[in-house]
Amino acid sequence: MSTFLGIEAAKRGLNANQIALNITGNNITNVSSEGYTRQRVDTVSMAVSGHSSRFAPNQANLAGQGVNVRGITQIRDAFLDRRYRDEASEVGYYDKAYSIMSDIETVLDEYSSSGLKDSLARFFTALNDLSKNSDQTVNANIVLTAAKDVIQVLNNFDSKLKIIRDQQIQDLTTDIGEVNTILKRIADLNYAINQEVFANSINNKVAYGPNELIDERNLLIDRLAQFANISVSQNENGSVHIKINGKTAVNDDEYHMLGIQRNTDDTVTVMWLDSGQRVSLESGSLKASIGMINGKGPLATGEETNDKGIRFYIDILDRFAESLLGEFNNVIPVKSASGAGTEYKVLFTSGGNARVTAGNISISDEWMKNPAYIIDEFVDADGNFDNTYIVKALSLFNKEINFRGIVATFEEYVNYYNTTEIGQQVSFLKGRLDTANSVSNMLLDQRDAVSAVSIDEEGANMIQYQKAYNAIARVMTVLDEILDVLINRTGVIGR
Amino acid sequence: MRITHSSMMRSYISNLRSSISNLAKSNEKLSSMRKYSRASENTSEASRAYVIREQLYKNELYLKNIEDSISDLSAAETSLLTINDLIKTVQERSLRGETGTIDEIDRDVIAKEIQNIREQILQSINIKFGTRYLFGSSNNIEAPFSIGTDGKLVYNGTKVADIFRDPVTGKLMSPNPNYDPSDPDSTEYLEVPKNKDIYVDIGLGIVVNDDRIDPKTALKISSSGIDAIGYGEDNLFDLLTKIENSFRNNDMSNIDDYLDKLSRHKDNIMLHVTDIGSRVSYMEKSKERIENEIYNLKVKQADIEAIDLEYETINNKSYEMAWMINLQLGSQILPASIFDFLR
Repeated sequence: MSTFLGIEAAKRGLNANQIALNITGNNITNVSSEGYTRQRVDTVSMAVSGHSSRFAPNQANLAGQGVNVRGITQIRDAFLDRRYRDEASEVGYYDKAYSIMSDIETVLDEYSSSGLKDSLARFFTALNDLSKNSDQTVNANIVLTAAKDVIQVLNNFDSKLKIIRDQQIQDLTTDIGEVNTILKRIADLNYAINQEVFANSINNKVAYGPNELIDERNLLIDRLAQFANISVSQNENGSVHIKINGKTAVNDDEYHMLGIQRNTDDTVTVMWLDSGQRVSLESGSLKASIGMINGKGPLATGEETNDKGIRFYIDILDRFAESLLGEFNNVIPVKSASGAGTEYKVLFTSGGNARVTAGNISISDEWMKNPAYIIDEFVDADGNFDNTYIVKALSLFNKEINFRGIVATFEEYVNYYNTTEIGQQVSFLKGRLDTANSVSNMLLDQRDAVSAVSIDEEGANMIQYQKAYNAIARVMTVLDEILDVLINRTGVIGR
Repeated sequence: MRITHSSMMRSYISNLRSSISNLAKSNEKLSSMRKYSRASENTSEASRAYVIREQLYKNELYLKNIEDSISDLSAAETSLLTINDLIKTVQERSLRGETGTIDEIDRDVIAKEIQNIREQILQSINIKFGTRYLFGSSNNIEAPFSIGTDGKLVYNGTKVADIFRDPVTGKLMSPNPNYDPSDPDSTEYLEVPKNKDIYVDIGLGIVVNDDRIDPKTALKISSSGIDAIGYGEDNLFDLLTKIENSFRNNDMSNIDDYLDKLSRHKDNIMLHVTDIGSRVSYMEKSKERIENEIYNLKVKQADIEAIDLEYETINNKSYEMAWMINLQLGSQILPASIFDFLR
């Protein structure tokens, strides 16, 4: 039975409540900090141990030793974290995919801007006027101008899509750099946390660690989850083990970086730098970027993927250019003195390339030098007003053409890719993005319900700790008076 | 469930964002008067809108084609009527010259008149409207009819007197100037040059078979002078020359025969006038049909693409109000906490 045991116990109590007040203050000041998890003081009554003497001592003499602060915990739900991170990679994927498709839609827009359909309409009008005056050079000139318009729109679309692709490759490179930075930082944090964490064996491995470092690490993992689908598991020593689609990215203080390579055919390959293996992803913004850059649609070969990405839309325009050249270069025959021959006038060329694309299609030299090339000339005799072949060229606009699998007229083809392909894809992605966003927000709310600071709660706690502090101070005063009675007023008889 | 400061802020901000985004979209609709700015906003309506736009511009083209043709044909009709009147004049003169007792000077006068009228008929048949020779068929470089060195009529370089209709093919043929009997490829007779029909598209779905336009699928805008003037020995021009010579030489032996043929020419011309007339009336009907079509398409287009002004204005006002309320609530959302009440 110790004289000053009570005072010691009271001192511990004061200390514990002061710590608790500090923590409450910390919570309140950090109410708006991003990623901050509310902290609580974990206290337990001090245990009496009888191991030091030979006999089991009387509990009564050693009881009442006060409160012991075990540590400061954070209140966090690992399950909610996992669910949120899964949803975050969905959001990352659809956000990126929607933003890129939106860019593509803006470039190829026919609805609000003057695109391919408008220039085709002008070409048709010009041909129609020529058919009524099929010997007039003035009208032939107008046809040439209109044809140049169509070519220019095609060339323009092609180059703008390629610019988008280049930008996306740049963005992807930046993103991968950021992923690598995050991985390195998480590894560093793992090391730092490991140094400071100790486990509470009584409380089932609740780690009392450097809470701020743990918060920072969790924030980084949240950020990482947007890029790829990850799985997180806790190691015994307090560090985390993060896997990207099954492959270890960070484990304790070691990490594996990602690399990106741009291939000669303008596809990209994203791989693990140390093993050279291609990274496979299920979701996240990296997958969206790669899919959009490499996506060729159903006819993918090599590094291309089956998503309908930028390459797919470039190919769609290429098919249009192919058919435009194919049809119009086989409609107006070269005439000689004996009538129409078997050769046709070449109106469009691919500029010396083997395969015609939307990027290289151009007006042929013969037509460029002489706008009247398209007119039915019959140079030896007098001019012929025969407009049969111009009308035949006009009828091409009603002809069902096979665009490598899609059978439609020229204008129907533009409708098709604009609404069925682009329009549908954009509206689908937007719908999925909205859904993923709202689920993610809901999960954030749930997470906050567990981990975020509620000011009212902290205020109530503060009152509680303050009152407790006052009460213990009173106890200390009482103990002081007792001792005072004992020391100063016991055994003073006859003085 | 614990409601925390951060979750309240988050939900307030996201509601604010969606409220201002609705308002902005509504403003854009009102200022552009269009329901959608992107095909992705409603793909099925966008698809229909494209089809309607295409039909609209094509129909407007066809309408223009028809209007141009109507004016061409009207001019051709006037020309033919003029020729008809001229023929009537010749008939009157000839009758007087034939029956009455007139002397040589009068006969000379009549011959001169006929010569004059013949020149006028030539001018009428060579009429140029805009950039086209109306009766030149597919010839547009020079006037289709001219006088040859022997005073006979020439059409596109061939003597009209030599033109005949092939009984087998029904086509008009003339002798081949480059005929070489020893050359097996050379034919004795060729089709009359530059006498093809010209067609324009009026939306009936033009079909081209073997480099020939199917006449049922397009509108013919050309007229052949040969049909009007006639071909062979008794074409109008040469006939008038013969009548003139009769008077000049005072040889009345064949004048009855000539006058007979002349009246048949008159009938032929009236036949052509009727033909042109019926073509014009067909075009007028097509024009009406197309104008109706354009009107209907425009109504449909407005239905699909344009906003309903009253509905959108009401929406706009309600979005604006929602926005205002959101802002006002903001000051109360950041709630009073317990600290306002502690001493």
